[in-house]
Formats: sequence, structure tokens, C-alpha cells
Amino acid sequence: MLKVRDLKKSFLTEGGAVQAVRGVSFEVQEGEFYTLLGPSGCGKTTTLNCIAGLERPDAGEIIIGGAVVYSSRDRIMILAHRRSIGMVFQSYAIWPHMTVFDNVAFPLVHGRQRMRKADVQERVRAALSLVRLEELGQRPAPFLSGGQQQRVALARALVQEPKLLLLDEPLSNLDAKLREEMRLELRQLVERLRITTIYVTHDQVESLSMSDRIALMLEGSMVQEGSPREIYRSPKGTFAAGFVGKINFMQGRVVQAGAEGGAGMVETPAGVLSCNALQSREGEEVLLAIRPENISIRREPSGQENNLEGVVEFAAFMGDSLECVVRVKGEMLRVKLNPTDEMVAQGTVYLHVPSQHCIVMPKTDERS
Amino acid sequence: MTSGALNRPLKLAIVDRWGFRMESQHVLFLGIMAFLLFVVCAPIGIMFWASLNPGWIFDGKLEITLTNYVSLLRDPFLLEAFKNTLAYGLIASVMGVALGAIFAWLLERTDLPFKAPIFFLLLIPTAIPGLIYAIAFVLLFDSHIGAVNIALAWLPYARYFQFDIQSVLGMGVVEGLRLVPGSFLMIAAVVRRMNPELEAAAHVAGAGACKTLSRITLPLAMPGILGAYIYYFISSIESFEIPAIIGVPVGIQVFATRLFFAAKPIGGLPRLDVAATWGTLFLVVSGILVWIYGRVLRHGERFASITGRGFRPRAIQLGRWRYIALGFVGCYFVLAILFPLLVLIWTSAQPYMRAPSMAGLKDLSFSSYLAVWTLPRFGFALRNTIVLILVSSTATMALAFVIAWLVVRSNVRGRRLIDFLSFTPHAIPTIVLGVGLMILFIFLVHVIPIYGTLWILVVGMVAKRISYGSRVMVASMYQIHRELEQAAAICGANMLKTFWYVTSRLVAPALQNGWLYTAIHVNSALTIPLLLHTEKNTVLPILIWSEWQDANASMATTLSVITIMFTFSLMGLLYGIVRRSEKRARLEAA
Repeated sequence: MLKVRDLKKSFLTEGGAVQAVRGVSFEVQEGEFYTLLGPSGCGKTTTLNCIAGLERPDAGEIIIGGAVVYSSRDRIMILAHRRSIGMVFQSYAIWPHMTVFDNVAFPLVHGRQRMRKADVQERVRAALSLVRLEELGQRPAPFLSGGQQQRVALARALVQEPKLLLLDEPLSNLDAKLREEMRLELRQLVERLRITTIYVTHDQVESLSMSDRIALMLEGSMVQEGSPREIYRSPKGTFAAGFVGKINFMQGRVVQAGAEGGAGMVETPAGVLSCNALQSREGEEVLLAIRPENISIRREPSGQENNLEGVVEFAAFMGDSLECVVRVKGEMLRVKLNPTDEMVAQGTVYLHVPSQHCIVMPKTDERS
Repeated sequence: MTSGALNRPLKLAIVDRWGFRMESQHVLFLGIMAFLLFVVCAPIGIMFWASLNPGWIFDGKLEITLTNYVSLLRDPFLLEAFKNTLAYGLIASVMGVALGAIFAWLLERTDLPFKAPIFFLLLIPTAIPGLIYAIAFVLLFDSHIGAVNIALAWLPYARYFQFDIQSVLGMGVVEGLRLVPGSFLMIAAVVRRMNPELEAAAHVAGAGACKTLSRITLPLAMPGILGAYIYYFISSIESFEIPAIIGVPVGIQVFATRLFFAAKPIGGLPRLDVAATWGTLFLVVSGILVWIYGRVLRHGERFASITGRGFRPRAIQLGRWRYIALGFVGCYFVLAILFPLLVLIWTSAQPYMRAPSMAGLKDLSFSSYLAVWTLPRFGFALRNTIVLILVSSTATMALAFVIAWLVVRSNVRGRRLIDFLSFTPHAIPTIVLGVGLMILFIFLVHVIPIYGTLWILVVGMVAKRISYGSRVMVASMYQIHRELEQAAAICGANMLKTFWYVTSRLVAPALQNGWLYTAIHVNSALTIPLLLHTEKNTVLPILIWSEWQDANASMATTLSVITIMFTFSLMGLLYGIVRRSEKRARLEAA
């Protein structure tokens, strides 16, 4: 449905040229919900604007539904208004001088495919009912709440029944509660309509809960691409591990290399740990990453492997969880527990880390 | 969808080749650039050139010499003009800014009653052109015929109460009164942005109202007040009308009038090279002042008295002082608005110039408002004025719109330069720009034969007003979120449609306001029309000027009242539009 190949884009600023996107490639299948995730300034919005035709890339190729909309080699650049896409902007971009109806009808009246008045009425009504705003058609756009504006923007993006829907941080301006509701609603809506969707966000929770696939970006490059489970469970590198969810890092050295895909041993300041899927050589310096929720805590030592003795330094009750900091021989480990474990998490404790949750990554790479 | 279809590029017919949009914005850029260079830089350049070549303009001789500068520096008039200009500018700006600051404090920080009508009345003097204001004050305070002076004559020791307008002090006071609306708005903006918590902290620390005012409020507002002060010093030494009407008849000359009478002597041949020399000197002086102004403003930013928070500060209770404050406000209105307007109407209704009296009441007749039509050039001047207002306001705002688009939305490399050039006319004294245009179009008389026509006035007005217009449009364009236009493109609207259905609708209020504001200024402009005046391009202010010079006070004041009424109606329109958009903004905020 969408192919992006070796996309490059730089901006001229006062400090000189800034490489916003440095050769990004990916493919999105029909009906897929694909998320570009990354911190601000990682090039995700620039990539989206290039797909929309709002920015002219420096190099690369973009193909939407089989049509080349940009190619530096063939010198093709189809402008935004000729690409068949819908888009919801971060600010919603609802035109304040029009009514809700006029906003939604704009693509049909002034856009690519003109239609008869009756058809426009019908299509706009359908689009508004899709976002549950049927009764607001005649309201001037400024008299809308943030959530309603967001829905109008969505209706405007969907009214042309585009092949591709682009969403640029559409939930970031909503308050926390509304954001959670809209997250679900948006996901269900695009699933029902089977629209291929590109979603840009810096919020890892949004990306994990909504996407079919996630592309994690940093400094204009793609760091990792995969399903939410893949990204969360086996992050490639410290950035991916740290950006999506919380994680403990420990310096370590491989003392026994694992067999093909099997367990190996890593020596850390906290003790020797058995780790799965160890592909490093013996003697290599590595980083060991463990998610806080994968550590369990007991009052007594158990006979299992990967048992560590520590002292609870600090425990914070978070409502739905209990977060502790446990000192294990000078290493501080964050542990996320069930709130009912409160009585357990005091004084000297024994930690257990299942070997399949010990993620080993090479130490040499700093970010990617 | 098969993989073959995926890989095949479709619909190559609607491909936009590279470079098309780049070219169209470059064409716009080059056009605007050429225009700005022509109306801003060329007049200044050619003026400087002419000042170095005394025989060049009329004889075409090339001989670069500093003779003009040497003889100007030896000229005893220079020192005198310099002293007068300095004194006049000091008096006017000190008075204008002090009154403006008092009004700003009263309206923004105290519980003064009737704030809304006072605010509205304060803006009225902007509607009275400088030329007419000066005429009104001569009629009020002339040492022989001034209405107020005559009214005071019966008092014992009358000569201590009487005020002679025809002095540097008189000129300064009149200009100072005229500056009040502007300086009030400028300082009120500073006061409004000041963080009221800073004052609250002083109260908590135990300081009383007076101590807080002198130790906290004033020092914090100081950069803003100093900025306003320098700004209005520059604008008062630039003003030509008031010294010309009040000072020149008794031989008080300032820079602006010297420059004018060198270019347009009452008898004898114009010495454009001498005018050019005065103009260059004037430009240098005002350039230095503008530079200082910029430094002060930058300095003031460090003084972070500004927060974005819009909460209202606690109003200071005036108590019994409110009557004194109201009395002060009343005195200003009587002196600055009521008396000038009344004396103009009185004089226009009299067959000849005489002070208000019971005897005059019997001769009161408004027949002069019919008689103006018999003036040979009245209909012609009226038509010219209307054409000038329509054409130059429209041209200014259209240019400003394009400039704003280039500066804010395009990615042309030189857009900063355009931004800078469009602001430059603000730093050039109007009369200097006028002399520059005069020399330029005399030089180009065979290439662009518009000297002496209405079109040269249009060029001059656009050149002078573009700095204001472009500021308004650039500011308004920055406020429009780029995504509002991008959304239209995504919806399938092409550039023209986006421009028409979205961009222009969103900047429409700014365009309207800017147009009317420009129209008000064009309607009252005298300096440029007077410099570039011939029989073919008479406008109303010139008619007023010449009737007044011919000692036909009745006609001059009749024309003045007509002009003021015209400006008032333009201002009423402006006020209505502003009110409407404010109402809308309030609704949107709710």
C-alpha cells in the first residue's frame, strides 16, 4: 500500500543544514496500522509530511497504492492536493471561519472529486455520524471543545474515503482521560473502515496499544521495526529498550557463551545471571537489561537459578502497582510489584529474574 | 492488488515537475525586491548623489564636490535650525510621553470611572491631521487673533495668562498634545504586560501605594517609557506641518522646514542640491536616533517585565483623588479636542477671521460649506483625494500581503532582506523620502513620466505606508497556523483555492484594518503631496494649505472640517470592524 525507500530530507537553519530524515525505508501493508514512534526531533513528523506531500524530500522514493508520488531519480513530485490521502493534524487545523459542515464538506466541494450537492450532504452526514457528531453540522467551528474538534478533523480526513490516513499526534492535545477513550475509538474506527493508517506519536503507550507495527526512530534514522510485542520484549539496543517502557541496565561480562539460541552466563556486579538467546562471545563486555515487572520478590531464598539477595531501599505505592528500588551489591534495581506484595517488600529480600527476561545487548553501541 | 500493479507508477499525466512553484515564488520575490529597492533605496541613493553634484540635476554636469556640505556647515541657519529642532522635539516628546504615561497608568492601574468613553475620546486626536491641528491652535492661541488669548484679555495682568503659540514652546506643546494617543497606547501595552505579582510582592513587603509606584512600577516600566520617548522624539522632529504653520510665519525654522523651503522656495529657483544636502544630514541624524531606539528596545527585553499571563492586577483605589484625576482628564479633552474642533467650526461659519463673540454669533452662517464647491479646484481635489486614498491603500495592503506571504510562508533565500527593506521607510523622515522621490522622478522624467501626476503621490504614499502595512500583515500571517493551509492542500485544494478559501479569509480582518488605517493616514498626509505638488495633482490637504497661506481662514477651516468628518467616518468604520472581530474573539474564547 505504501512504500518509502531511502527517504532523505534536510532543513536549512541558521546553524546550517540539519539532516531531519537520513535514509528511511519501510513498507506498509493494506489495512495495517503503522506507527512512527520517537522522541521530538527524530524526523517522524517530517517523514509523515513527505508522505503527505507537504514537504519536498531531498532524495528517495514514495509509492502510494502503486502510484509513484515522489521519486528523486525520475524527478517526480506530486503535490499534496493531488495525492489521495486523509490527514489529521496535531493542531486539528479546523478552519475557524466555517461551520462544522463546511469544514467536512471542503474536500468534496473544492477537492479532487467534486460531487453534486445532495451527494455532498449525504457523505458529510455519514462522515459526521462516523465520529458521532451528526447533530453539530451547523455549529461554527470555534464553538467546539478540543475533543469535538478532533472528531471533526477526523471526519474531514475520512469524508473522501482515502486510501491512506495520516495521523500526526492527534491525541496529544487532549486531556488524559479523553485521550484514553479516543485511543480505543480511533483504533476501532480505522479497523472497521480498513484504512491503511500511518500514526505519528512520541507516546510509547499509545504506540503499543494501537499499532500493528511500530517503527522506532531516532535522529532521522529508523532504529527498530516490529510488532509492539517484539519491540517491547526484544529491543535492539539501549535506546529502544529505554524509550519503550522502563528498564534496568547493568554492565556485564560474558563468562559462558550460550549454545545456539540457548542460555549463557553473564557476570554482573549484582551476581552471575543465566541469560537466554545469548549470541555474544566469551569474555565480551555486554549490557544486561531487565524490565522492572519481570523481577519477582520473595522473603526467603529459593533454589532456582538467577536468585539475587538485596535490600529494599525505597518503595512507592502507585495505586495499581508497587514500585521498589532494591540494592543488590551496589547495583540499584527497579522492581514493579503487585500492590498486595507490600508486606513482602521490606528489609532483606530475594529477587528472581527468569532467564528468558534477561536481555543481553552489546556494550559498544550507545544508541542504536 | 497484485505486486505488479504496486510497482508500476500510475497517472504520470498529473505529475508536477520540479521547479514550478520555486519559480513562481522567485518571480514574486524579484518583483517585490525591485519595487522596494526602487521606492526606498533609489530615492535615498540619488539624493546623496545629488548632494555631491551641485550641477548634476538640471545641467547634467558631473563634478563630485563637498561644496554643499562645507557651505551648509558654515551656514548660520544650520545651528539655529538645529537648536530649534532639538528644543521642539524635546518639548513635544517629553510632554506627549508624560501625558501618555499618566493616562496609561490611570486607565490600566487605577479604578478611574468612565474608562471606556475616556479610552475612546483619547484616540480622537489621531483623526485630526497635523496641518488642521496646527491651524486650530493658531486660531486659539495666536498672540493677536487667538480666541483664548482674546477671551483672557479682560483679566488683570492678562499678559501673564496669555500664551503665545508662535514660539518653539508653542510648537512643542501642540505637537506634544498630538502625540498623546500614540504614546498612551504604546505605554499602556507595556504596563499591561507587566507582571502584577511584582507589585503585589512589594505590597506584601510593606511598601505603600506611592512607594510601590516609585520603586517598582516606574523602574519596571522605564525601558518601555524610554523607548516610547525616543520613538516620539524621532517622529516629532520629522513632523513638518506644525512648524510650517506655527513657526515659519514668525521665522522659526526647524530641519524639516529648511529642507522643504530649499526644495520649494516661495520665490526663486529650487535648489534641489541644497535640499539634498539638508536631507542627507537629516537622514544621518534620524538614522542615529533609530539605532539608539533599537538598542534601548533590545536592552529593555532583558528587563523581563513581561509575562504571558493575562490576569488583571488589583486596581489602585483613587479615593478622593479620583476627582482630581477626572479634572485632569477633562482639562486635556477640553484643550486638545473640544477647543480645536469648536474654533474650526466657528471660523468656518464666519465670513472672515474673527474670534468667538456675541457679535459674531449674528453672522453665523454655514454658507461656506456650499461656497467651497465654487472654489475652482475643489471638485478636482476631492476626486483626486478619493482616488489617492483608494488606490494607495489598496496597493499598500496588496503589497503588504505578498510581502507577508514571502516572509512567513515561502522559503526564498532573501526573505529576511525583504522584511528589513519593507520596514526601512519607517526610519526615513517623510520629508526626506519626499525630496528623494522628487529628485528621482525628475531624473527619470523621460523613462517614467509620472512627475507632477497623481501617480507620483501614489508611489510616495505606498513607499511611506508599506512599513506599517507589512508589519500588520506579517504579524497576522504568523498567527495563522501553517496546518490550516496544509489541511486545505490535503483536502485536494490547489494553491490558488487554498489562498482564496482559507488564507485570505483568515487574514481578512487584518487586511481591512490595515486598509482603513492606511486610508486615514493618506487622507491627512500633507508633506509628500506638498513636495510633489503641481496643478495636476491637487489633493484636499494642499487646498487647505494654500487657502490658509492666502489668509482665507474661512475656506481653510471649512475644508478642514470636511476633512475631519471624512476621517471620523473612516475611523468609525475601523472601530466597528474592530468591535465586531473582538466580539467574535470573545465568543471563540468562551
